Amino acid sequence: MARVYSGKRPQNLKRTLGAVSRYLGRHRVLIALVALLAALSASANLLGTYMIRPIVNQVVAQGSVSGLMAGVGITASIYAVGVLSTLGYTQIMVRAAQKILLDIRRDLYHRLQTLPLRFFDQNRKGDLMSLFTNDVDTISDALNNSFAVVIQSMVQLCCCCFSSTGGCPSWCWRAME
Amino acid sequence: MKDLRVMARYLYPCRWDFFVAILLLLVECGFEMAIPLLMTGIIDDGVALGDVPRIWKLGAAMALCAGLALIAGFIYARFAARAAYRFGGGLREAEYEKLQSFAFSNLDRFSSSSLVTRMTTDVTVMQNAINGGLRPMVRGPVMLLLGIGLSFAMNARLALVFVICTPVLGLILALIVRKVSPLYSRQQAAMDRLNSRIQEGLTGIRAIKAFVRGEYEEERFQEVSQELSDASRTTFQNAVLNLPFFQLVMYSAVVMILWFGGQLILAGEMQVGELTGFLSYVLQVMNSLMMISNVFLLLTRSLTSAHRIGQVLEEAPDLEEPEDPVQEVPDGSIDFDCVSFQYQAGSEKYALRDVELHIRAGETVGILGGTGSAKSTLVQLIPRLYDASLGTVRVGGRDVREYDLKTLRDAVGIVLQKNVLFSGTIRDNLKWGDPEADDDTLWAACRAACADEFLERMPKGLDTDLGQGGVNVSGGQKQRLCIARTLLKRPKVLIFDDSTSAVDTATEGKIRRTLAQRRDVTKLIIAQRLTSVMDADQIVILEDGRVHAVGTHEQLLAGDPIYQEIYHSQMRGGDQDGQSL
Repeated sequence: MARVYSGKRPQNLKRTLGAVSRYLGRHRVLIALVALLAALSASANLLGTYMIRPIVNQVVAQGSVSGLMAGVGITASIYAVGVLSTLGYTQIMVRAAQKILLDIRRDLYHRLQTLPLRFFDQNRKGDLMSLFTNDVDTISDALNNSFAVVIQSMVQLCCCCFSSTGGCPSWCWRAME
Repeated sequence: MKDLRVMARYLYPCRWDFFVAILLLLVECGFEMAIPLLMTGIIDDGVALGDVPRIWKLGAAMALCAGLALIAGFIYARFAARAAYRFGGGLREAEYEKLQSFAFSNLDRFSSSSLVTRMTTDVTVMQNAINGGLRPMVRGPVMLLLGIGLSFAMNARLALVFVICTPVLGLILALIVRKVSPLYSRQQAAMDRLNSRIQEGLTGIRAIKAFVRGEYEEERFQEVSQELSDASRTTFQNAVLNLPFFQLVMYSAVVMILWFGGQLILAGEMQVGELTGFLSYVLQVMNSLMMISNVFLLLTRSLTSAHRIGQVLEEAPDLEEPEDPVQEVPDGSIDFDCVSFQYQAGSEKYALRDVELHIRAGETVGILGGTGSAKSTLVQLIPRLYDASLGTVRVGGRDVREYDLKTLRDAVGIVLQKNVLFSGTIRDNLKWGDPEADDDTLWAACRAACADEFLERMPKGLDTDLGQGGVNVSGGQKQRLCIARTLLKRPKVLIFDDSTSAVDTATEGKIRRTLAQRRDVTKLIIAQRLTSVMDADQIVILEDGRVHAVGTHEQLLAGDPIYQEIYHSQMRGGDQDGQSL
């Protein structure tokens, strides 16, 4: 009988999240580094953009080229830190994600070897193969794309809430896209 | 490019969802564009002039625009998903349909795990390309053009920065795409190998457990998994370089604009408000370029997948059907006229060489030979599972290539060495031979195949459910069901490729005697046991791809050394009839 996709929520959410965090935890140094660098990159992005306002104000007030140069220099160095941390976290995330996927695939195959034959009678080959391909692919996407984006969005959110009292200019909002 | 045209064909049925999605995206873009304009209005007209009611009005308009943009975005998501998944479903169906028309030689060219990957992972990549790629692909260019246009309108000199930055970005993108394209192919090939290993492990799980080879299998799996990991890591490490590089160019542009803009302000040629407004457009342009760059990587990946899917869809089946096929097979006579066959065209070795056989309709023919003497190959040429490389195979007096393929295969029944049953009830499986058969016909066929004795013992009888691959029945039972299935076709030629190997000799004898009574069917029996073919009208001995000898049992026993050897090794101590009957 063809199995109809049930569309139910993922079950055992707590247990699953526990398992996921165990796999992430095996490489926690790398993951922590990614989180740190992603936050740094997002902060540098916002800070650099924010610097535009004081620089412009200072230029109008003081009217000196050296002041402009200093301001532009600071902005450039903030941005440089941002670029380097972006480079850092993207490369590390790729490595960490592949290591985690390797672990998951290995453990999955090992578990399959320990299951009784009745399991293989009752489960179709295609379903089991799909675990290794589709489901592991989805985890791969989540790790590669979503993880860093979540960190960055959190940073941007905090920054925005924090500085909304100070007035977030329109292009700050633009930069967050 | 050819692959894209193939893909476009499957995008055509969901073109309305596609267009509506694009339209909604443009609407969303439009509303979003309006917001900064309104913002400028609030600052310049409202705040500057202290006009509070105006601020409220513009503020409300902004909220409305944001809300409408949100709604448009939601509805867009629905249409984009519909377009993407319909597209994916269409691709998979087309691939599966194409598979059914493949000859064995086509299937040999793609490994089965590669076909599975091409129908699953590659299609998912294409789906994601539409689902995730449509939005940036439309928004990116639109915002880019608007942003550049508006910044040029504002201050043409500063906007020259774009003229420098854009080609640099384009160059970086082109370099990354060029590096990453072949890497994606390598990654997909590694995934094929992983799938192949998993498939093998799942199919052979019983053997693995019986021989306690679990650890060894895990090691082998780990090798392939590591390969995939390395390939993926290299690919993604190069692919994600686009983000830092783009940020570098983006930030350099902002810094340069700050520098030159600041100087312009100092020189009094520019207003502060102008600069901040300009910078907002700059950031917008940069972000849209970022969006486009991400999409390009996604598109590169989907180009690789499109190529792989295209390979399946464009594969020409090796078996050509004639223009005006003959619709009926007159009788079951078989002739091999100087037939040679090789699996790979152009290879040195021929699997079959200069085979010359003439079989009259209704005859029983036994085929003997050692392992690898090409017995199965010989019989597979008759229903055109493969086509002969040289010479002609005839059935009913005509070249097999002249018949309509379906008619030919209905008239030639072959019970293969590997007995494949499909998930479903036994009745469903038997009806593969004759979809119109009623229960009496089914039972008659089962009786002829001696499958009735175990079917009667099963509680649900014909309605017994078979698991995937028929795991709920023993090997011998499966063989007998396959024989019954073939008998239901009422073919003119029946070929048994070692198909009673799992059946005990008594039952096998019973089956043979029942079939011997049907003189209207030509029977070819490939066997290892001499007793299976001793009563045949002709016995063919194959050796190393050639016909070594043809004759009756008595003729061969008298004159052929190989037959004598087989006879003595199998019948030692027993009389001619043996105790097997």
